Amino acid sequence: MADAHAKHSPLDQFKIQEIMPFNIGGYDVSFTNSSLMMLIVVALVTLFITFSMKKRAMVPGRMQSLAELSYEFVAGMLKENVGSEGRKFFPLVFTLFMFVLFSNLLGMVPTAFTVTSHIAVTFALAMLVFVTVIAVGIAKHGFHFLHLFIPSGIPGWMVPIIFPIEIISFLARPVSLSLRLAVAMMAGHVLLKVVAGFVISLGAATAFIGGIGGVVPLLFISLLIGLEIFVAFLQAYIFALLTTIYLNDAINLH
Amino acid sequence: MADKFDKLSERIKKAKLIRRDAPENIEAGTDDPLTRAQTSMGMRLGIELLAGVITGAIIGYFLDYIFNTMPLFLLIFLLLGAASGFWTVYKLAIKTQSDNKPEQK
Repeated sequence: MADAHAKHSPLDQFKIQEIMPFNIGGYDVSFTNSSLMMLIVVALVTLFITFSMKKRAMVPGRMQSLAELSYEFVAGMLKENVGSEGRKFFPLVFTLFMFVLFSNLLGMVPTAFTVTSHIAVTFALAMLVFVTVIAVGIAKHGFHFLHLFIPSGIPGWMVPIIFPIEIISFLARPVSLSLRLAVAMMAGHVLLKVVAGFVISLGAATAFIGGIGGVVPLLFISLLIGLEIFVAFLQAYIFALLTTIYLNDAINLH
Repeated sequence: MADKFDKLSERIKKAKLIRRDAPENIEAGTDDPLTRAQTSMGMRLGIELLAGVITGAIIGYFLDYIFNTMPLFLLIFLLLGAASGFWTVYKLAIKTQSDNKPEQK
């Protein structure tokens, strides 16, 4: 019973399973289902971009316009938020956007593992952005970068109060960036699993009339899947958007 | 060839008309960039408050761990973290307000 219960837990889908146990210097660096999924995501993104752009047609076909659409989407976002100097960071933002988007969408495939539901993965992505922003800011402005923590037009006596608050709010950026993505993906997938459980339990409870009760949650779950796909896009968009906004802070100090 | 393009442009025109006239498009305003921006804004705010508190707690706990002064820095930085969360949201709200003004006319 305990075994059966564990098998149907809505959190079971987030379990990391080792595929190839591996150990380096006492650290567990096994190849897991999470790593496999990330490799699949990277391979799919690469295949998608290379093959859809292979023809380089003047009038794009369906796949090519999808690739061009995603390119222009990210390029437009960078141009709008950072300006012409943002072009240098297009590869970074585009890679992040495609990786998050494909992980989110592939997570919607039944029995697939959702990489972005793990805070370890999203926090690593967020730290990448965070470190890049600091490196760019210091390389571009040097010591002047600290002015980021002093809002413009603030009276002098308020600086000692605002300065620590600004620093904490700057340090909170990777936390909020990673938390938002992981929480949204995890909550959605748990909800899907729970409602899917209702289909079975309500169907079994109304077995005397042919399990008709299961239809209601079944309809609900089809709506939820649509919503989840929307959230998958939205979260990838927000992640990329915030990356550009943070980059803008570092490049164009107020 | 020209005939084909004519047909295509007619089809595009028709598709555009249907999209604009569809009541669910007008009501939900899915095509409106402002609504999309507001949706993403709303998703940001809640987590931003939480992230401030969590960051404050982590820093405070760390300092206490180093200096062995258990609740002191944790309490101070929890409050500072909460303040920074509100500060972030406040700045965001001010920024969105000034961003939206020229568009409203």
